Amino acid sequence: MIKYFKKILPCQGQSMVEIVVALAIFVLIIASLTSLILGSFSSLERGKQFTKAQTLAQEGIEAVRTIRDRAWNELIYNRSAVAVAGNQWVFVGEGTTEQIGSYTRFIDFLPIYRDGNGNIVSSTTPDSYLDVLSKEIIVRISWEIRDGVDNTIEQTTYLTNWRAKEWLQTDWSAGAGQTIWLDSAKYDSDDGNINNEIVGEISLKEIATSTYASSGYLISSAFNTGLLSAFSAIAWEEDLPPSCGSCQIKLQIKTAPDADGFPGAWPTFWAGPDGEDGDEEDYFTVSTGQIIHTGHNGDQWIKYKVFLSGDASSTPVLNEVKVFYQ
Amino acid sequence: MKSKGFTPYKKMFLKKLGINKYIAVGDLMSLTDNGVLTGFTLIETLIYTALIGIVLTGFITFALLISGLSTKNYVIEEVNVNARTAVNLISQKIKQAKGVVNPTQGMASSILILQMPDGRLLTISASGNVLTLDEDGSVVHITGDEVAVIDLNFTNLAGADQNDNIRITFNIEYNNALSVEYNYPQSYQTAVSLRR
Repeated sequence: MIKYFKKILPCQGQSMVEIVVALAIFVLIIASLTSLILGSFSSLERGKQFTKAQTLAQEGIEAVRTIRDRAWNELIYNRSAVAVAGNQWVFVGEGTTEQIGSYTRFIDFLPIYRDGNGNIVSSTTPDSYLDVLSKEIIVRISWEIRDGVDNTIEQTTYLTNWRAKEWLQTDWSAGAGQTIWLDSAKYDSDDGNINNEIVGEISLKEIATSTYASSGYLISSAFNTGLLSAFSAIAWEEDLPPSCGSCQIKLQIKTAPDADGFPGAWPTFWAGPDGEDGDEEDYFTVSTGQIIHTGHNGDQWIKYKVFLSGDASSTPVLNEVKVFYQ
Repeated sequence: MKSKGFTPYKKMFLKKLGINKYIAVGDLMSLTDNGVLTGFTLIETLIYTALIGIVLTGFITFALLISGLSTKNYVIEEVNVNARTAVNLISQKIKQAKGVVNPTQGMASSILILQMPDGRLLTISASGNVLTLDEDGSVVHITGDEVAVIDLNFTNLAGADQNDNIRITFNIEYNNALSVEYNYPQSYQTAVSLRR
């Protein structure tokens, strides 16, 4: 009988499978639309985060640029945060970073090496030298976008101390006796073991045929920068005989404030890269340049003391001394 | 009721069962295995109504959600674009400037006055919560009316006799903060040095 009923009144309408398929399609469309809109929402949020990160990165670079303008010799860190102190940008200290809301700012300083033509090269390039008046600055902003996942942007720039003025001495042939820099070929004093007879260089005095004094020193005249200065770096040109392993040229400096057009009180000790630390044990030894300690900033007068040492059979030769200041 | 498609044999069979009135297959009537003709019960009707209600509610909720997100997207976009424009334009003008008249070194102000290379003064401020650029009386709105720039601050962080460095901080939000979709306050900070 049932068979007949089914023949007479066959059931029509939507089956369960059709309903499930329809629902699935509907859910897929809804899910796609939702995903699309939430994706757009997420993209805009990311855009905002990138904009904020870029403004913070720019702030970091501009802060370093401002410190560079004030005193190049403050750029002595490998990594440092910046902060405002006394209405000025200052470095916080080695290894520090800065947390600004949900963003972390890293400012890294990388050394610059150059070849003989002044081009920037890798530190491993033969005959490359460290350019102490240039730095690569990398500002990195990092923020967490979800648990354990960070996003990062990076801005890189090269800064040089292009504003630096230069005190250059290339000749000492006019002899000693000049305390204040006036004649560019004269100097203050020496210990009697310096040969200044050749224009454009000094060396150790020949005390017998082919025999030179084993060491000697020369003190320059005092140079007036004309304003309160930040002394950036000191460099010199030297010629060391390859056969003379013990030949060396090294320098120390003294700085002083101005006292009515004359040098004020000079410190007791000559200073090297460690600054006025109460001893004379450190020297500037890298002829391509070394940074002068920030402790000298604010003075106006400077003079140097150059030490020459050899092996008695040959002598180092000094051709020029340069002091960079701002 | 008239039926279509039933053979005389089938009609006779239904008559034997005492069914004199019937409807065509597919209408609101069905025949069970026991030969009982049934329609929608009250429960079925309630269930169908509930199901339709749920689906409609889902549709409406989804439509409202989409509408809300769309509004929020628009608000975020407006705030972001205006903030980015403000930062870029102010930065550009500071870099081009010859000097900073206000604020002086070490000071802060809500008004930035720059001396441009051609000697003209350029004033940047938030007038009526709209960031404006005034160059010799010619006023240009940097941000739109739909966003409000508040707490605009310029601080000159350069030392004496140094190149001016202006730190810029401001908050920006959508003007119509009546509902949560429009509420999107953001704060920005950056700094720019003069290029001299």
